[in-house]
Amino acid sequence: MTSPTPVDWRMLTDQEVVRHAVIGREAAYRELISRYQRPVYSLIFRMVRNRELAEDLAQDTFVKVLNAIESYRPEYKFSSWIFKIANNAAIDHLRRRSLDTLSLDGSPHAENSEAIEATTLQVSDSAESPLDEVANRELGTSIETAIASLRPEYRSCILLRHVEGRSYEEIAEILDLPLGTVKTYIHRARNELRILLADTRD
Amino acid sequence: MKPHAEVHLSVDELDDFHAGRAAVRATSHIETCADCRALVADDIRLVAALENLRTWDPGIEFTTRVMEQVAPRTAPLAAPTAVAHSDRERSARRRVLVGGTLVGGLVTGAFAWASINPELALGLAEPAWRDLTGSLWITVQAISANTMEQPWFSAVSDAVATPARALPLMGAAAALYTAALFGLRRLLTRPAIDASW
Repeated sequence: MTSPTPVDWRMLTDQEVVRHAVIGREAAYRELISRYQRPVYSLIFRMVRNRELAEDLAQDTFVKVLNAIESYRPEYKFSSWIFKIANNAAIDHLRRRSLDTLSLDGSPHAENSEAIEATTLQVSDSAESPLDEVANRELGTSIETAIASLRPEYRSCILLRHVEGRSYEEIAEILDLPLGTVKTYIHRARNELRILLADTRD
Repeated sequence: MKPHAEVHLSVDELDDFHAGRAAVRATSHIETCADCRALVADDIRLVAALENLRTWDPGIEFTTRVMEQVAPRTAPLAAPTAVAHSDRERSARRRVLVGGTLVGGLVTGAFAWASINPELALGLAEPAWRDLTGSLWITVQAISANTMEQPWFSAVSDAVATPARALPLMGAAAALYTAALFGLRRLLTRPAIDASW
């Protein structure tokens, strides 16, 4: 049996790497992860602002994409596909979190002191790792705080446009929004950011 | 109504400044409008800050963890193994083989006989060939006569009477055919699953 011919993965387009992945070449899977782990993880991290959670959601994104690689339609950009799934994962989490708002003082349904204690959110117990500390410090800069205060839809748009450098058309494809809406969101987001940063400077 | 130069910058004009292709109207407007000048300067600073934001890598075990969950699909493709057949399949294959051998033998025998007795073979074949071509010619004539008697025939005939008239029609027909092929291809595309579009 002949072994597969060696491939210079760096020379291949995303579509070509996907073709290798579809026939089950493990190296192609690794190449796709290596190309997109940084942008996908960074996008999700900025959306959810929690390192471990972002890593879990990024992992789910890649597992979903790679397990469904045969359904990828090459007429679309691979980056659009993976960013769409990553963004949906982040937005879904944010929606779930807004539904599961926890009280710091314990569940309102707790009927005695033990139940109140059991359902109280233990904020002070969560020990921060050095990595968390660095990440939190970086997220604490004025521009990151301003981005975090944007509506999730605006945040996705502004991050995809100006951090990931995606075109308006690709963002419309990723977010399933009309092109005009994407432009409006990005300009409103930039207006809000300018105002927030001006307030910070003042 | 305000003169054209006094209208503030639109969002598209603001974008054009980022792309470095601002129109003359926009550049001349910001020379006279302090608000828009400040807006452009702030926006350029903001976009530069956004573009310089750092990106992060996930943990070093990230790839391994992902691969663990997709590993079953990345196993090397197994070499095709011999397919086991049922008794029924084996007997059907035997019948096809025997039938094929018989037909092949008959055809070969017929050719061998014809090469030994060419005159007799031609004597038998010629009348049959004449009958066949005669029937075909009569069929063609009947179809032509029927077509020419149709009420739409003269209109179609006029439409393709000259190459100049026929070409656009043929182009349209080809375009229609191509569109139909694409439509069919789209209909036959496998539906995408959850993680796709």
